[in-house]
Amino acid sequence: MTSEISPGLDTPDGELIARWRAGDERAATHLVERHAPSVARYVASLGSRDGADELVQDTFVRAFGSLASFRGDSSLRTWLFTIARRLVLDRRRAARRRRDADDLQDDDAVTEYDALDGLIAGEAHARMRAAIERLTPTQREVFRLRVNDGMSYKEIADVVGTTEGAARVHYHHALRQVKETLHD
Amino acid sequence: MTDCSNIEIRELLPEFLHDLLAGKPRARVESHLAVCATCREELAALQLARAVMSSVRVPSLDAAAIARALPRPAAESTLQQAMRAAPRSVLSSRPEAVLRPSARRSTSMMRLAAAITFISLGGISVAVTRAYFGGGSVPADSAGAAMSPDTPTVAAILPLDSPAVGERSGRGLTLHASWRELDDASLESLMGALDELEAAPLAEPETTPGGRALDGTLSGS
Repeated sequence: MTSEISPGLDTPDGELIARWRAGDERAATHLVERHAPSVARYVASLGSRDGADELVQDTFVRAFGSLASFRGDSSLRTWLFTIARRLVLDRRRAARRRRDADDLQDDDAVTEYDALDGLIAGEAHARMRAAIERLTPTQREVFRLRVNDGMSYKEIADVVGTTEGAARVHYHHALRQVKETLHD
Repeated sequence: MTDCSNIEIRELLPEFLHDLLAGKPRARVESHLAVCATCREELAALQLARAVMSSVRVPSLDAAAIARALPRPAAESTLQQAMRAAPRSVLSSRPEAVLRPSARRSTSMMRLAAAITFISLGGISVAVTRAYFGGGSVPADSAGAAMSPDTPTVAAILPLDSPAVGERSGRGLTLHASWRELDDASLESLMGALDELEAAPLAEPETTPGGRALDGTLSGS
């Protein structure tokens, strides 16, 4: 049964999922519009800028292909990030087999930002960018999920595959290092 | 540089940054920020970090195209919807109450098909047994009785003067209390009969007499 009422910006993910299950394809479009940008930035932050759009699409295809198994214990966004991370690592492993590269190494750090950002950001942005790039890959990922995506330690633990305590430790180490770098 | 000792407030700063706090937690953070320069500085650093990280250049995404590539939703059947909507107590005590008439018919048909299959297999088994033992009754020295040397056969159960005990005319087998009492010839004859029974083609029409299945794989010699 398809609802005649178009879903709005405030429609919860769970309701949109239910509408999509009932055959409302507009609900899927709303979910993609809502979450695709943050998934794309996360994928890019893991060093997978090339083919990020393809990875984002694969993430949604996989997520929607197994929505029946999504029990709502975590948020849809957390679930999407978890799938995206797995896809990035799968791609990384495939590439490593070809060129003997390592997962999430320092040289995978995000170094590309908007050209406009580079022009207007100024010194503060440049220093912060340098501080973030000096973090270890794990610290950077946890710091990003906490600060940029506003995830709880529980959600971060689900995405990264660690414990809440470990996520908290990584965050505080990252924050301390960033502040120290900014004050150097 | 030093960190504020109020770890509870510091833990809430990312949520405050994302406007995820409300009520008392939000009020606590706001009142703390009003008097703590260290936490204001940390919040400013978090805001700057968020601005930098969100400026990561990403390719433009076509949400509609991604949505079109998604698998079609597997529409729930009416039965699934009824099962989902029904209270668990109803499902556990009277499952038929939430089934549509067609669903009940479907269940009955499946039960009927299972019964017919069971009866058919039983009939085939009896027919094959009769064909190989040549009599109207089930042979006493069946494979089940031969499983254990100590397993009593019909002769051990029936009185010795029972008409069922004695010489069998079909294959020349004699009833004994145990297969250990069979002589070599009788045992060999029994084993031959069992081998024939096992080799009897029951329902494998796709296998040729030579033992080669129609798909080219060997199914036996």
